[in-house]
Amino acid sequence: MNEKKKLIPCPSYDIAAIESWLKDMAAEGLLLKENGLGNLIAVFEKGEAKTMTYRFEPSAYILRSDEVLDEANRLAKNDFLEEAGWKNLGIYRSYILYCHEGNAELHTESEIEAPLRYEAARARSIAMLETLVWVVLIVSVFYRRCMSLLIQTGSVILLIAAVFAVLSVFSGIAECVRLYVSSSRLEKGIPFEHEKDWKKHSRFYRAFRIVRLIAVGIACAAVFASLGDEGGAGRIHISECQEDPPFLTVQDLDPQAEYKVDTWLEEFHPRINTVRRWSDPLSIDNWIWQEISTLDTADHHWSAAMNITYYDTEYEFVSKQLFKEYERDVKMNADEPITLSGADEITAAVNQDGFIHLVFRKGKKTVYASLNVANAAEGIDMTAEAAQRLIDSVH
Amino acid sequence: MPRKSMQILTDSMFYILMALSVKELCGQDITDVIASLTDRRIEIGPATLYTLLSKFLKEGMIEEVSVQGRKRTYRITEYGLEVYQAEKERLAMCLKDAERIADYERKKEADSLSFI
Repeated sequence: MNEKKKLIPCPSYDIAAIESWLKDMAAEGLLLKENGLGNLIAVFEKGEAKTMTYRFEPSAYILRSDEVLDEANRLAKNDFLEEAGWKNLGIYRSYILYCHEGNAELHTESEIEAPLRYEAARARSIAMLETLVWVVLIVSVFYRRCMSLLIQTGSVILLIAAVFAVLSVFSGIAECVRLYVSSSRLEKGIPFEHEKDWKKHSRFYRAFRIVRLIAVGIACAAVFASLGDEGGAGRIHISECQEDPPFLTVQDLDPQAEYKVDTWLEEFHPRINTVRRWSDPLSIDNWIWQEISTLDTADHHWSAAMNITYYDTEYEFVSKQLFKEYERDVKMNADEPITLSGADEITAAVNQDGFIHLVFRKGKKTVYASLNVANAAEGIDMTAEAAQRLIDSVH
Repeated sequence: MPRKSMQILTDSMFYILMALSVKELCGQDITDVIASLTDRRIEIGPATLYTLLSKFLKEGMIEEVSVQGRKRTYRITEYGLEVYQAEKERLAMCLKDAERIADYERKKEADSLSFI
């Protein structure tokens, strides 16, 4: 193979450092291939060691001022530079990367180069800020879903991976700050500094990038495993569970209940009537029991279902967080509080149809239940008494 | 701050107009003419040259004469020539001032002595 791949040792927004790194690579006989510069990896061709100059020129499409070049002019500029011996190596972020054999400069007058770079930096900052606003909006909208997904999926590794994944957002902020500083310098007439020393923080960036890549990979794998066909890794149907659960199930409360759900319900909620028992010491939950039952006579939709979700977690803080998450659901679904006892934390309420919604936490265990009077078979009273029996059954 | 108007030309601007004031030239020829005229003291990078040519075209100081493949040839306009001449005169006056500064100092010294 005449090809070599290398991890880029500097942040992708620090184009001056990348220019310098590419020059050093060429001096070692590694010449960047056309379109070979990716976000993380650069692809080189092994060849004769030589002096090369690499320069990032702001791409015309991001320039919005009167310097803006239309499509015809953009191509004309490219032709112009190629005629002068500069080879176009492809687009990288908002720049076009050119190279020239030997020492050369694309720009020889900082007064001409500065407005172009200033405009490019400003356009890039605006784009980054727009992205950040979107990220904040998306996170705020999906925060609850993400938090419960993280906890339900969860292991300590996944939580750490998520932290690193979030750090990707901070690299966007760092890019904005860097661009703002460089554009301010340009505005003051300080020339753009090409070929900056790339070795200064290269170890840190390389390690950070590797860790972040692995973390994002783990986070994706864990989420994928959690959302798998069977409702997540290690889940089995409740009817296949050999162990006798240490709490009252829906069937204990209502012997006539059947584990029967509509097809659409199973399709959209693959965790229904599944149980997962982890023996993995890194997992934050040891036992998740998610059960919904409907009767033949019921209408087979959520409002007619009865469910119990039981979490036995490894850490108390996870249990507390789960309680908080489900407490919001209880308060949203029912408004008349009822008094129950026998747990560290309890929130329970009845809605206007007489359904009891409750969540309680006993140490590392959290249980969320919705006891539906419509589900109760004849002679079975699905009232606060049943809720209290459920609380007392958990040890 | 970068200069925004074309009233005072930068070195590169002045030399590009200078080269085009003699004859029609393409981009590469402009670079070569300037480099050889100034013994490579003034070298213009292609991106700088292209940006300046675009500005000159927009301001009506030069015009495109022909396009042959990648090669575009430019010619200076009447207005471009006026700007070039004005800048040449301005620079000539600067040079004249520089030459007169020694006489000025001498005269000033003599005036102060005569006052005593």
